[in-house]
Amino acid sequence: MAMFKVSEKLFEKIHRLTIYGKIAEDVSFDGIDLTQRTIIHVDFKHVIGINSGGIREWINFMKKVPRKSRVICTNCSVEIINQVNMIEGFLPLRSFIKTFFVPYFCESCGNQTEFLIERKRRVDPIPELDEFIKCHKCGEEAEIDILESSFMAFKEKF
Amino acid sequence: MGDMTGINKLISKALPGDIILLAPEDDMPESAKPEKCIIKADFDTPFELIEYAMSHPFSHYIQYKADTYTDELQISCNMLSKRSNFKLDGIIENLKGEQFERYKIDDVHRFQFRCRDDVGKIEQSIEQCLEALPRNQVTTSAVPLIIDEFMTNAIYSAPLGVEPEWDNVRQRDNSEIVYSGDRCGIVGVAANDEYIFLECIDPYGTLVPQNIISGICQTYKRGDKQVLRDDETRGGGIGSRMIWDKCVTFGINVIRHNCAMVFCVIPYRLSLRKIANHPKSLHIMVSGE
Ligand SMILES: [Zn+2]
Repeated sequence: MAMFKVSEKLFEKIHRLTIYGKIAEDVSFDGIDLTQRTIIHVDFKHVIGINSGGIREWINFMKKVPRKSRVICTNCSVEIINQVNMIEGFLPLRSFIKTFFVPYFCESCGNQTEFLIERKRRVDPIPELDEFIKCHKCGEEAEIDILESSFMAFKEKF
Repeated sequence: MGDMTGINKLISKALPGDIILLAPEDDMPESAKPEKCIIKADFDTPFELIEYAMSHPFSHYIQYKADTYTDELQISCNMLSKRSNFKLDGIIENLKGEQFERYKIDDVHRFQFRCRDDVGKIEQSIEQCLEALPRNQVTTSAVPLIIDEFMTNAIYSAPLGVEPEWDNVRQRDNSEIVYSGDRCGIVGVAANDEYIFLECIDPYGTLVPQNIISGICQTYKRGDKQVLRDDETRGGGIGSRMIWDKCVTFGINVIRHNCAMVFCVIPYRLSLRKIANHPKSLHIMVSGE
């Protein structure tokens, strides 16, 4: 299993954090200085899960984001979006979810297909999602596996 | 509630000993013990079941509209009549019995754990056990999450009050977090054509099921923000809710000061959206002193 780690890169205006592995209660964000740039880009692409203890650690980490900074999130899984929707403080106020995955489930073969949705700006509408698509594995109909109304709740704030 | 007279007659004949099957609107017979009652109901939502369980402390809550109703009834009866076996066998072992239909299994894989470092290893082994199953949110995300929550609770919370100085163990270095003496926890996993079965047994028996039910209830009632704040000291709410959303059956069996087991059943040929609103069952048993 991928070990937890955070890789950092500083660009002219952006501090980019790429997170790897599982966010659990024993992870440490110590030593990451969030005050170096006002735009903090968090890439969740390599996160393989987050447990309840990890949520707590993550929120404590996000408390260190300076008020005038902005967190931009990419490659958010359903699990991450669920936390954003359920837990206040999972992301600071001035955050933006730029890309996120939408899963489709095929009851014929039981497999899942995911699509990455991208937004340019918060105010832009999210493109309408198809209720059904063709399963990548067996070609049968795969159904969207989110409750759109509650899943998309984040877009009002982030 | 629908008319289940036919099946009730059939089932009441087969119910062993003093076990009673009741609908929520039924009066409990005077001679009945609440811990021996199985509630069969048709709750509109998973929250309704949890709310009912909060104020009506029976042992088993099963839903007759679920396509696994008879299997759930059988689990309830087995738990009520064979409770002493659980420390050794767990719940899943019972599903090998001929009485089961949809839940019937052939094999159970078991793994022992004693420290936090074992979590990752066991997750990997379980991934290998289930690698022939389709890859979807259930198999790739829900199962590891549930195993993690089960084991994390067993490692950090179960020894509280029993192991000396365990209170601050979360803050210590990982390698120090090891059960003392011969104690070990056990994770069990099994799968059949439709379902994955997970269980975790800790060797402490300190778990209080009512705290878990009330934690889940709070996440529905107050939203998770407040729960998380409470969680900082007690553990519970969010993790249990994450499990509850992803399974169709959740069970807790505690033999006080001896062992505690949590288990769940997860269908892997259903979308998570359907699982979240599927008629769910809840099994709670506490014994010993
Ligand atoms: Zn398919």
